Amino acid sequence: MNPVSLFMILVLVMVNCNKKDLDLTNPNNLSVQSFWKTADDAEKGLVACYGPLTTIQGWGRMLGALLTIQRGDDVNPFPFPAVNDPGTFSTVSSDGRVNEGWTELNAIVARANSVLFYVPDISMDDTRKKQILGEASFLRALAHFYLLNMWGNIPLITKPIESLDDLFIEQAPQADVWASIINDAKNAQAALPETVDPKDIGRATWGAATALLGKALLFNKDWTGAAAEFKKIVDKPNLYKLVTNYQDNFLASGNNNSESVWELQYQSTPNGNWGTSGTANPLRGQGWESDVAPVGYTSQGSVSVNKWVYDLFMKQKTKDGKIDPRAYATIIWNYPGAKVYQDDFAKVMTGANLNNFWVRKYLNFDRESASVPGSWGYPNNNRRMIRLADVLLMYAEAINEASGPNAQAYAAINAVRARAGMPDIPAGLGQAAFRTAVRDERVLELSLEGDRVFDLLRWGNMAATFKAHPEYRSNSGAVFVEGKHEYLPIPVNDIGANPKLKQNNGY
Amino acid sequence: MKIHINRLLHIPKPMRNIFIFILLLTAGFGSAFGSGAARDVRGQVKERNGGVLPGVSIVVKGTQRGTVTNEKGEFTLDVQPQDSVLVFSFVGYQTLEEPIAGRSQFSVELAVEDRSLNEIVVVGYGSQKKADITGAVSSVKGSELKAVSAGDASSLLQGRMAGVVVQNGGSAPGQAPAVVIRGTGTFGNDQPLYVIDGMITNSMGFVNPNDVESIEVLKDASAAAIYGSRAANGVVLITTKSGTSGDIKISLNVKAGIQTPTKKLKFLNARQYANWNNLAHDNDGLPRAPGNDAQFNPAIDTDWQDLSLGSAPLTDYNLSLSGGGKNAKFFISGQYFDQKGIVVDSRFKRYNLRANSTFTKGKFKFTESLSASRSVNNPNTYFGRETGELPTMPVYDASKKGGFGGLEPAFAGVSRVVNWYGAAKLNDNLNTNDQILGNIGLEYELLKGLKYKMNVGLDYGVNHSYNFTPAFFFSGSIEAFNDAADLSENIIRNLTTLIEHTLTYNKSFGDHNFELLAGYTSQTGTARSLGAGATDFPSDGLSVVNAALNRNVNTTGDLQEFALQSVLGRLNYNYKSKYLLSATIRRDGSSKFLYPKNTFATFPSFSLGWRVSEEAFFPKGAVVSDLKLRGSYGTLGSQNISNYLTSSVLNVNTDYYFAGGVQPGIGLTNFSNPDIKWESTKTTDFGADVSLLNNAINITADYFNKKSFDILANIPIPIYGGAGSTITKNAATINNRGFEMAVTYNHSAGAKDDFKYSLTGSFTSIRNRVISLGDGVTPITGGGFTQQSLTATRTDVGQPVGCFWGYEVLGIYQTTQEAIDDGRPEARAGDFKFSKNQTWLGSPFPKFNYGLSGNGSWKNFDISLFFQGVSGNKIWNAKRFQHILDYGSNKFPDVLRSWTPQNTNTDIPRVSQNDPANNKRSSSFYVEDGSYLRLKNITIGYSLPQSVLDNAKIASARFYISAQNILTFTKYSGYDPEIGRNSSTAYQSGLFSNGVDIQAYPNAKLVSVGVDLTF
Repeated sequence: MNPVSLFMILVLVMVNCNKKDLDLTNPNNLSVQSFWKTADDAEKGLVACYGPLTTIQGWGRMLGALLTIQRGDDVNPFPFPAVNDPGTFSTVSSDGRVNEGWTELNAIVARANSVLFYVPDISMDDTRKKQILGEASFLRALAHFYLLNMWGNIPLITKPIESLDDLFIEQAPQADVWASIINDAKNAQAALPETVDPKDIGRATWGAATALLGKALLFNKDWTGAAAEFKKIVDKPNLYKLVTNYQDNFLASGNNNSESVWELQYQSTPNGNWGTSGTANPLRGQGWESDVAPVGYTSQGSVSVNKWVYDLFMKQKTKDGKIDPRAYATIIWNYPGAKVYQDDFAKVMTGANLNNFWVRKYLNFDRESASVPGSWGYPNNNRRMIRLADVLLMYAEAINEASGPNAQAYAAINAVRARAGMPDIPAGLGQAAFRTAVRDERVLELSLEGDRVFDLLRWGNMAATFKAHPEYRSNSGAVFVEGKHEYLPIPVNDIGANPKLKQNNGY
Repeated sequence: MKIHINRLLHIPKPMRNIFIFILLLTAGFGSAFGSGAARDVRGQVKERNGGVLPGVSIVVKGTQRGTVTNEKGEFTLDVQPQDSVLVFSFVGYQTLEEPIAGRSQFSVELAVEDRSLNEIVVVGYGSQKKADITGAVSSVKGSELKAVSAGDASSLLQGRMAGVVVQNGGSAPGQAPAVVIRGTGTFGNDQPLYVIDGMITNSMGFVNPNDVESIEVLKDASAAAIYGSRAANGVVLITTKSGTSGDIKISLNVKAGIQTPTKKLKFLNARQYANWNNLAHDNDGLPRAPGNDAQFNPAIDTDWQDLSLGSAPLTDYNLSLSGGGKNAKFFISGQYFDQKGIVVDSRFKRYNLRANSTFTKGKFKFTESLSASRSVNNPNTYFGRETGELPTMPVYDASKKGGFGGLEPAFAGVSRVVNWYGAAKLNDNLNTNDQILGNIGLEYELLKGLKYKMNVGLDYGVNHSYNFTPAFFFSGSIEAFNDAADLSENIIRNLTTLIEHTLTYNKSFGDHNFELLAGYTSQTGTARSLGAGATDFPSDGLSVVNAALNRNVNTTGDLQEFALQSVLGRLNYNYKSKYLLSATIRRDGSSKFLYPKNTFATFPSFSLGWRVSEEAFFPKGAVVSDLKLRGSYGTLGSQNISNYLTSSVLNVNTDYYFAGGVQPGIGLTNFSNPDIKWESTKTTDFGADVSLLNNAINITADYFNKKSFDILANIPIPIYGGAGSTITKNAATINNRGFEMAVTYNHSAGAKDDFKYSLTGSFTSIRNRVISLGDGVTPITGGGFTQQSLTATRTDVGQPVGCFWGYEVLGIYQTTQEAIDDGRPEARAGDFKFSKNQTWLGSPFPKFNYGLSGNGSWKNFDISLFFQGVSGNKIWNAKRFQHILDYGSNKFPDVLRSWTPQNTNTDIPRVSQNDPANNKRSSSFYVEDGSYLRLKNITIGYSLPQSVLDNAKIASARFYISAQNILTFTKYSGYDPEIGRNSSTAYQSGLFSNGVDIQAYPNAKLVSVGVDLTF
């Protein structure tokens, strides 16, 4: 045989022996192209929008406490580098915790964008389709609401990212983001049912969308519009009513009670993994307990409560002459019989700690401490994102700001007070006096629930408050810089990646 | 079925021409020859005026066919009718050429003279005479590696070869070291490719060092190009032993030793610690913790280091059988290696079995190499963890679940306190790795000089990890309790198969010698994993998933597949063995890239050599007895990346818990980059091989310049896109250039002098620089060394990969006013004064690495010494964070000289737990000189004299005593300067954690005795 032919034949034989394809597809995951075809895809795509809410980086911890509760003037965070920095006004744009909150909220936006873009074209039951789009609209409005009020200047994306160029955009004017939030909330309100099946509790409802819409209008000082939305909720006494025992709102045993308009559903996950939504078996519990629990009962830096909150509670007694019961449900101090978890407060607290004020609200005293048993993912004491008492107080506030106090405004604030056994506020208050009454009531009713920082922001008195009261940050000696600390820094990754972004003032 | 031959052969035109040229040459020359009958020749080789010489290379001149002599100096070799001359060569002896002249029996004597140039060196897909090699190849004999004991065979390469840097990571038993050949040229995996007897794999850790015949490292583009797509990090070729004809030889090696820590650190006692903690609270204006003050218990003073570190045995048994007849040869061996760690509750065991054989029948040659191994690793992952063991904590407490003591954080005055010793004792952590690796080669001589070879290989492994933690309670501190026993198990089963077809052709026309190689290879791999977790066991004695009450925890599973197809060709040409040329081309297709756009890539290289000493003008008998100059240039590739990086996929872990339970979610969580392509490295190498003083001294020196480009880096994208913060892109460029040299001196003065010795030194100096990171890539931060997210390294343009980065400590403020004036209102007297900005604080890469080994023998005694060292590198000593500045662990005595208003002349800042001035930040406080020189090994052996052996009917018997790591010169204050890359599971590891000492094991001194017997 001719050696040249022999050689060539052999080479061809060698090559042809091989059948293994070099075009391999990933067998572990669905490809993007094959998704968004069925009703089931729509449901799963929607659930993914909820996914980030309760991770450790979401309201499981970072959004739950470090980026919200700890920034209020009701608490006084201890210095704890790389953790408590937002609350001690020492955060920088590379702060991992800030980045994590930003990540989870934006994940909600991106996933909701996909639902709102793809689901309309899926052929499925129209009733359910409408609800799915409503839920996604609500979640996008919610995520944008927090992004805007925490970071101030954000890019506004309302479509799925198709090419990387879609990402490199400028920040949107605040008014544009508000318009998107209000539009989304209205769409959600129109699409969502008043109630859901027991197994679906935690999904967005008409009430959740209405309250969020009202809140967005309130933040925009559209007092009449806000009042009209809150009224819709207040006018449905069979849908929502205040619970008798105030503290039930902050105990796992009171999860999803009649006062709750919308709450995050924590799942006890002691064996969960630390990670954002997308991590297998993530921690999905109330991990932020450690960031507010009294010293000695937490592994974290945590906070104490500022004395002015206590003083406000002591200012007025209940109708039968007792301390406002909400005080006991909100804070711990050295009173007879005071407990800190399962211990006697007076026995375990020493020195300055004994005379200090500590967080009680949302702590789970059936545990031994904020970490025992079960550590981060253990407690399933739901976060009440919007409850009727808050709606009532916002309603009173909106009416008062629109046209001064009227009977409905009085009724609303007094309903909240009556539940706690507190006497009605004095009749015949002027607009300013009523404003003070509502604002004080918000402290008594809502402190340590994470809304204080947003109240200060919308009232425009955050800088003035911290400037007038450096003792609100005595644990850390932190100094509030006006025009800076109202907002968090845009994460350094995004500033670096997209030169069109402008960093927030001061960072 | 898709066949990719068209694409594979779609080589850029000039290269295609070269390739076709090679094919045609191969085919064309084949026609010139007919076939003939082979026959056997046999014989014995002796030293002139001396004994028999085992290990002598015998090659048929002008071919690559050859063999080596056995223990008795005997050999058998097939010769073809046209073969005319046999070439006998052996290290330290003059090469001898013997005409065959029809003889079948040879009795040859070799004169003592150092002449290593005719040794056969294994190269990719073949072997070459050392004299003819034009690429940069380092070679080491298995016999030189055996003295050092290590659980992972790759650590034996340390200091042996120029350009090959091996970093051991402490002495954790079974710990795989990092092996870097000529510098890191990627941000991904920088470990070399391993080829064991022709089977391509990614580790040599499981290899029994006693089985190794030789290890060759292909360093430059020319040498490594034949492995094109995966050769950018260098290629390590391991050749295991094969049998030799003759009597069956049984060899038994037994070694037993005791390891002790090279060093222990000094810590405070309980009272000193409590005082420190009280001072911290006083300084911070906080009430003292009761456990350190009013309720301090003087009865407790625990020395955790003493409990956790001790002496540990090491044993190594090895048995081998080898032999064979004319047409069949075999080598069978077994090993049992058992190393307990000097750190409590750690142990590594390895079982090895190897069967190699060779069969010839007519024109067929069949080779088989198979190894089966099992390693069982029981690491202690708790040793040295931060924020843990305080001397005020009792070791045991029978009243607590688990039986170990603990402290409540509030009582102890720290935020976290964990009995890591108890955790290690309670936790059962076992990693079992079973591996079968082998290949079958079938060789057939088609025509005279034209050989076809098929090589079929497999690498099959099952890795099982098992981790059981019973329920325990030390205290309420984070990580100090486990409510319910938990178990996690994971199994990964992987199979990689390799099929290679090669054609080689050898031909000489007068003084023109050609060797051609063409081949096709295909490798595919599949790895499937399955993991399960379970919690809540009715009894701690039950630790299988089925026994658990809750089995629905962390079930995982994954399937990974890859395929690689290549065509390759090589031409070696020399004229009179004086002018040498080698050209190689390889085209690869990989499944890791988008098909078909980026699947294929071509990697060419060429090299030239000039043996100056063969020229007529070169003076004979001068100081320089042999001189070869070499130069090479070529491109190598790397595809050491994960599978499926190019396709966007949806994440099924985006579910949510509603009141009625978890509902499934599916969302996009990462953007992928479909445009990812091969990383490439262009290497230029200039080298010289010089022999001096009649070859008593051999020097190999190389300068290389290696430019790696299209390096995959993670480019940041805005997080607000909702799908991650980075996208992978071919972006960065890294340059490694350096100088390396190996020098060998052989003193063997012949028969009248009983004293023989040789010295070998290696020296490597590499300069690693990031040339560019690519558009939009921000410097890479790495080397996280605490749970507080502090990092040690940064990778940026103009600096080495993973360089230390932080603030420079400029001193200590003596007054608070000083700090205020400095713009540091949060700081006060006693706090560190830092540089204004962060800066480069040193490189973890040594300026140079070196090794020096000496082997000598006198009568029946032998001695070997091996020194190894690095110079000019820095270590980030995170222990100084843990034990000086941070609050959660016991303290070094350094804190006794902390700044106080009374003690102002000091380098240790004031004591504070709150640390408002952030003294703990990443700074030069943690950076230390990491240079060391270490006597790695000294072995003294005695072989029984022949007369005794004859009576005992033993072929040879040698007894030895060996000591490892017994002498170390270093200024490093941590446990050990050999820390490598952080391998701890709790922190970042790998490339960007190079030189960061977080919880490295101390190294072990090993003193052992052993015996080598052959029958």
